[in-house]
Amino acid sequence: MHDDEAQNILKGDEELIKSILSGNGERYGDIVERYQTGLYRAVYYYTQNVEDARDLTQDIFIKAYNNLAGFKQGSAFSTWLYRIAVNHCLDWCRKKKPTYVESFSLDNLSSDEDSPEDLFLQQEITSEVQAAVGSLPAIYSTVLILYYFEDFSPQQIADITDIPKRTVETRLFRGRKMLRDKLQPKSSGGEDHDLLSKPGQLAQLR
Amino acid sequence: MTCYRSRDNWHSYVKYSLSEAERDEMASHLAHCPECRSIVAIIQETLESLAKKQVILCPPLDIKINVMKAIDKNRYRETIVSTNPFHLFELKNWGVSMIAAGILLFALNLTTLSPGSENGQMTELHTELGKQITIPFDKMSQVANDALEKIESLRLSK
Repeated sequence: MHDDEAQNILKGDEELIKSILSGNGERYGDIVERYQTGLYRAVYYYTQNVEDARDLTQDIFIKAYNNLAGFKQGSAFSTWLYRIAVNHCLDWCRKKKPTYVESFSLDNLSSDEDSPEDLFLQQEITSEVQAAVGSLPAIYSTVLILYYFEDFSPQQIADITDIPKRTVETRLFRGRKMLRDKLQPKSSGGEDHDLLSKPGQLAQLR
Repeated sequence: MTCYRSRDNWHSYVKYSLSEAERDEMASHLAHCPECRSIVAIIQETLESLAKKQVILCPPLDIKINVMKAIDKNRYRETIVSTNPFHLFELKNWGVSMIAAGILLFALNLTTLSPGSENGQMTELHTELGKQITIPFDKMSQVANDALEKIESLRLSK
């Protein structure tokens, strides 16, 4: 993300939050609209099913609204929101982690261009990656989700998860290796079918 | 793994989230370290690869509706109202302080107007309090005169 774009988002969020905190509760709808796609997707990696992902996303937004007065103006709202989200998801995982993994439904995929065959293949691979990420220990899946899918930097992840940046870097290295190990046995052709990177580069990591 | 920097901040490097100096320093290391170069390449490759395999979900439409139904939209409006009494309380405190200061100044003025002030005394009240707040102006002026005389004699001796 470019610096200017990030600054604009930061400013926009700050104005919205000021407005909400000065009594315009209706404007929270704009915040929900702005963040629901990313948040819902991130939550889905934890829950592995759409119903729980929807309920959790709603809970997170409600919790964030009720604690909005505690948000420190000048800091990034996305980091603050995702901190609530990650903690909520980890709590949920501890209490009620389902033993099944919902097969990814075609209805959930938004694509206008892909053919049904492409879409099916994409669904297969996505389900495989999603299940693999979801099956990792939470400390690794969290950093992978935030880094690879939600586009946060290690420093932002450190702020969200309240761990040192150095630890985030280490967990990203280890998490990626664990994810690769989980995905590799399923592919028939070894390195040629690695879902994470090109074969030549992968060999050098070993 | 042979390079001691193979576990460096390469993930931050890839996301451009380092200071310029740090980034330049890491870039110059990359120029002569194939091992670290391959690590950076793998991270970039994984980013691109996983971006394609990302779950593309459309959030259900009812998320926003349900959230907006569930929240108390007047929550922070109430907070504004509830903070007003605090401001009033603060103003009240200021008012009390100002009145107290006014009374004190008035009392001091009264004592200077009393006949005892000509004799170097703040008050002629024949009470214990009156005796306690008597200021010995005559002694103070004597000390000042002595000091001035000493300064004068020192100046002349030079």
